[in-house]
Amino acid sequence: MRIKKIAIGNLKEAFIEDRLKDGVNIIFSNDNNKGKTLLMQGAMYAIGKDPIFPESFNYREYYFYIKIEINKKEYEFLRKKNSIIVKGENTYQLCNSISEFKHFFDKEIYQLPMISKDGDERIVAPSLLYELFFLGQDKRNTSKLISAAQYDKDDFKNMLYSMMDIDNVVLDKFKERNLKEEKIEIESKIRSLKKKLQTIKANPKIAEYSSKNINREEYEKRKGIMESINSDIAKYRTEQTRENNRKIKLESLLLELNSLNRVIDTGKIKCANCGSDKIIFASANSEYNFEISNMHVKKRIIDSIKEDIKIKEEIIEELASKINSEQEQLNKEIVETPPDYRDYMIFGEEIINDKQIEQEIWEANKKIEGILEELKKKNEEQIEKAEQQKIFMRNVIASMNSIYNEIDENGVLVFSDIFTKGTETYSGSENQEFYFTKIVSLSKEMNHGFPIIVDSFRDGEIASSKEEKMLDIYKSLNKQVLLTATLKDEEYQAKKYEADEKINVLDYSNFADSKILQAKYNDEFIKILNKFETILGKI
Amino acid sequence: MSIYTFTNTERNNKKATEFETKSLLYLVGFRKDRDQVDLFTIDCFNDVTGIDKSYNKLWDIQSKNYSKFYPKQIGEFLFTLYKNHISGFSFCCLILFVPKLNKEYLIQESLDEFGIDNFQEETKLKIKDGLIDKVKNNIGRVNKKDVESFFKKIIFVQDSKDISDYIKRITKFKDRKIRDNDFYQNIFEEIRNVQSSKKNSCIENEQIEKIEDVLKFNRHLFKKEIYTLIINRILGCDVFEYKSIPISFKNETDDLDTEATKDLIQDCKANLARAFFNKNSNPEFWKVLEFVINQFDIDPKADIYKVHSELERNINIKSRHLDRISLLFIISIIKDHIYAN
Repeated sequence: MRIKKIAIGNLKEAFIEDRLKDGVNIIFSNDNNKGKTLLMQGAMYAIGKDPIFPESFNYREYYFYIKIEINKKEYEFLRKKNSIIVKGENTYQLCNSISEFKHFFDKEIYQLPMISKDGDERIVAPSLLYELFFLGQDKRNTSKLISAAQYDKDDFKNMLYSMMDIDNVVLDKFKERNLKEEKIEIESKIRSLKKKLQTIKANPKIAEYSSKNINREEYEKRKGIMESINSDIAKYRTEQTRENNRKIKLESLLLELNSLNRVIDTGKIKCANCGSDKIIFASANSEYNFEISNMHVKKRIIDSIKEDIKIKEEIIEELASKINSEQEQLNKEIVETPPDYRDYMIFGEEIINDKQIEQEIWEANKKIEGILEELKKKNEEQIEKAEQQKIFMRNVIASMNSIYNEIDENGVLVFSDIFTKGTETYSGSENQEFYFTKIVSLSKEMNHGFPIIVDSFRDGEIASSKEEKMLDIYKSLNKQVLLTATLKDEEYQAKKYEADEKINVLDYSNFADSKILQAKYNDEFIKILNKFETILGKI
Repeated sequence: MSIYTFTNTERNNKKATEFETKSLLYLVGFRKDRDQVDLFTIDCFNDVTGIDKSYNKLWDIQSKNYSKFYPKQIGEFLFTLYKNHISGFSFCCLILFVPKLNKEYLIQESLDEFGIDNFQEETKLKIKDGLIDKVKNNIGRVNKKDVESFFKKIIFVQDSKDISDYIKRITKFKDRKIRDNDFYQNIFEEIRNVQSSKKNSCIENEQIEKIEDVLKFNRHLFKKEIYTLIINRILGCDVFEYKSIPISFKNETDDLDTEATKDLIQDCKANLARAFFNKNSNPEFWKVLEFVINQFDIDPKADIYKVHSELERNINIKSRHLDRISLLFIISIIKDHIYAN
């Protein structure tokens, strides 16, 4: 994969970067707040990463565009909020959720790794994949994943195994027991919630009393928030129903096709001369020699429909979880509502608790089902895979240590995993060295086709001698590497990187503070938007 | 006026028919002058004979799939080709299609296509002897001039390719998808079965005066049928796999919101699946595909609405699944996914 162009903007202001090359690119400036991080995060956001932007930047108001080359094909992506339009050479596709995007990406662009999660084999979200080669400036923590909130370290490792074709989940002995305990806990919680609801229902006078004492303005504000959550819930429910209808239609299509496909099994016609069962009826004016389809085609159609049904199930599930999280939000709002508004609260709790209880039971059952399923799947082959995984991880860690020794001859650290233990604390430069060795080792050991992108690659005051060695290693990878750095004045004056012909340097120093988005790029940006014109209105 | 009498028409076993199918596909895909060949006759003039659009030229192939050939035997196998050469019909090309020959017979063994001069002198003489003996036994008189002009014309083709190579080669567009061998194997077998079924009639000692008269025996196959077959199989295998909307179809979805668009696409795909499964609509759907493919052959950028209106004007479509919108969808897929590549 190679990044060719990145753009961010709307109709009022924009920025376009199209000077990126193969090999090492360094975007630098002599001060902070020049937009380097915005560009890096924006690029990744455009291809489905979870947003990590500064608070002050309202990313919901902007379009994020990226042009990449992957497997020798060019694709352009345009994202606004959770909608992404993907433009291929002759096709376009609008994805209205990241889950939809994920499936599209997997099918048409790049096959995403699968991991076992909650007992199901699922393709990973783009955010998890991007952890492999993208390191942002913020929220760094060597003991955890940075983005991809729904995943943990093990999921990341499983993803690596899946990419290396040695995937398999080794089950934790205690997982099942813990989950069963969790279920009992949830069940008892449900009982207590039900009791609470009954108490409130039994005392309607509380509501009558409190409605007299409310502050109208505050009440309207809270009511507004809750109504907007409720309307989101209704929207997701509608989507869920439509997806469900589609799923039902596909299921009945399967039945219909199967009945058209039925072979008459009362006997077979055979050629009396040669015994062949390939008898062709030749009508007097038969113009066509071939059958309209063969068994292979029919099987492919049936398999694809079954797969579509599976995807629909996943989308329906994702919508259920969205509804659940909106309801949690509603619940939170209600908890924070002063007792004066209890009439509202009673109304609210009634919906929330019912749904929440159902959801929690469903989730707990689902988790346990998942565990049982996982246990069943365990077999000897898995043990062998586990061994291969160990070897792979050992190689990665060995590579990390050797690269570390290369850049820091006197270094005292010894890495034992691709994540640090929560108790280990590294200094700023050690952190940077850890991430560097990890991202480079994974690239080398896995030979993956992705670029390496590190925002603020000298973070933590890396010594110049080490930095030089790091850059040499980056250069030796023979792939696209995107780095950003804020230079000290003396470094900037000395034109630190310009002398190296193998590095493509992009100087952002001239942009005004926090003003990378500028009106002068508007015309060019609108040209980009126009490429997506026909469906732009839908996002 | 020449009269052609069909003799030695035949028979067959699986290995031989497979080889004949390869020789047919060689004519469709590997020859430099392949564009001129419009249809093929099966086991009339020879195992496979290509004919041009105006029924003037004939490409004649004799295929022999033996594991070992002796030079003299090679000469004997040339007999049918020789007979055609001296018939009054104009055979522009005479081909003996064989497996890899013994290296020692050849000067340049790496060539897949060559004339008689690529044989070692000794082998060449034996081949000539083989043919001359056979001519003596079967016709009696040997015309030296005829034999000389025959050997100037004859081409030997060695088969060194897999079945899948033959099928891949004849897809006119670049099919970028990696497909498993089953896919190609199935198409190959379908062509082979049709080819074999053509031999079920008896035409021994029938006579024709003009090349086009051969059509009355229904032992022919048009090249476009083979193209249509392959595009049809790709379309069938991929219809539900296409996750993106063909760009030519966007007019139909412009006024719809995303959800309605998804419903529409799913309905179109469902109708297409039904067409592939429903035997009753077989000839009709085949006609539709052949027509659409023909339109894009003429102009790969043809407007889908124009193609559709031409289609409606030329073919009376009765199947209720092939409604306007589903047809537009099929036309768009063929244009954007198959021809655009």
